[in-house]
Amino acid sequence: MSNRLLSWGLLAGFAVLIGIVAGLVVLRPASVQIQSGTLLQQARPIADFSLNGSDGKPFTKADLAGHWSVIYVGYTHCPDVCPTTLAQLKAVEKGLGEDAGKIRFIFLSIDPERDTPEALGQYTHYFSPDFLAVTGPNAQLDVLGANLGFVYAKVPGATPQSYLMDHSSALILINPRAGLAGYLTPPFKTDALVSDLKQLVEKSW
Amino acid sequence: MSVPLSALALLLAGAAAAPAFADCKGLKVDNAWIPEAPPVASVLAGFASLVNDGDQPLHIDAVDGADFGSVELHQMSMEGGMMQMRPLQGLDLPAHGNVALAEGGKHLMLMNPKHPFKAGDASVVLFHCGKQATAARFTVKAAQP
Repeated sequence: MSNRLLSWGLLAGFAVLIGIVAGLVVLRPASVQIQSGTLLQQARPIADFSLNGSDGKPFTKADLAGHWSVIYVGYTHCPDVCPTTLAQLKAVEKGLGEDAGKIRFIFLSIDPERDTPEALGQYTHYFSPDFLAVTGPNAQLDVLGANLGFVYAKVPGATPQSYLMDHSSALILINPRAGLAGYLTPPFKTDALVSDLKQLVEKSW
Repeated sequence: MSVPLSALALLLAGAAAAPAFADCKGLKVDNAWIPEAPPVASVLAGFASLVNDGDQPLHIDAVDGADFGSVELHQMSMEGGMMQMRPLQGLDLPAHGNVALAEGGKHLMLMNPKHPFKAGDASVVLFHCGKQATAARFTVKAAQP
């Protein structure tokens, strides 16, 4: 019957349409937009490196895989912006709720001369016991800096021990494949950081 | 000069004795506070509003406090994505003018605290202008992100 043929035809048409829509949804290009910074169009691979964690263990590229990471570059002799940023990251961690478990916050000290891993850990864990604290020899920090796009420089102070460190201010985003995904740039707003990070962890990269 | 004045600061902090030195004429230090930092921190920040009520400009040439190994004045700035800090050689306060020591700008570097500070604690800091000095009480408060 022609009616029956028409029904089958309509059904087939629907199936094709559903297929096309489904294909569009699945194959849709990444469209995560963040408010607090910039995502690279394509994540950039990172060369191997070896730093020291505050737990006494080496901290390497393998420690960046399997979860999102937010790296904050600073040093503990910075009394103004560094503790403020760490306190803000603590607020972000709280705001993320359950999603916080999917992100590692890492305080990376570029002042290994004064920040021993142990002291760095005590300083960092004051803000959150879940934050990681890492540092390492300058040669390794330089390799990582070239890969992640951060820079730092030692500036003489009033005394040899009170030297200062200039350093990049952006938070560095690392995806679960241990690739450089982008940057979050100041001034930081807690709510915006929370919503950006939620978006990123909810998207499977 | 700074040694006897530090001793005086200690006296002032401990016994609230009247300072035996003249105040910097016209200098007022308001809202002086220290953001609470991890107990292991070897540097704390000091923030305040400095007001010169006098008819003469003031130059603050040194800052110290009995609770700290030394105190420096620093200027923080953000240049091209870089966080930078530079030591300042004193502070100038014009007549009837003011200078803010605030987050993200000028601040005190309270170096090598002699004991850990927690919210609610206080410390006396001396602002020197030539032979005079003004004592100010800084209170420690939880840092607000």
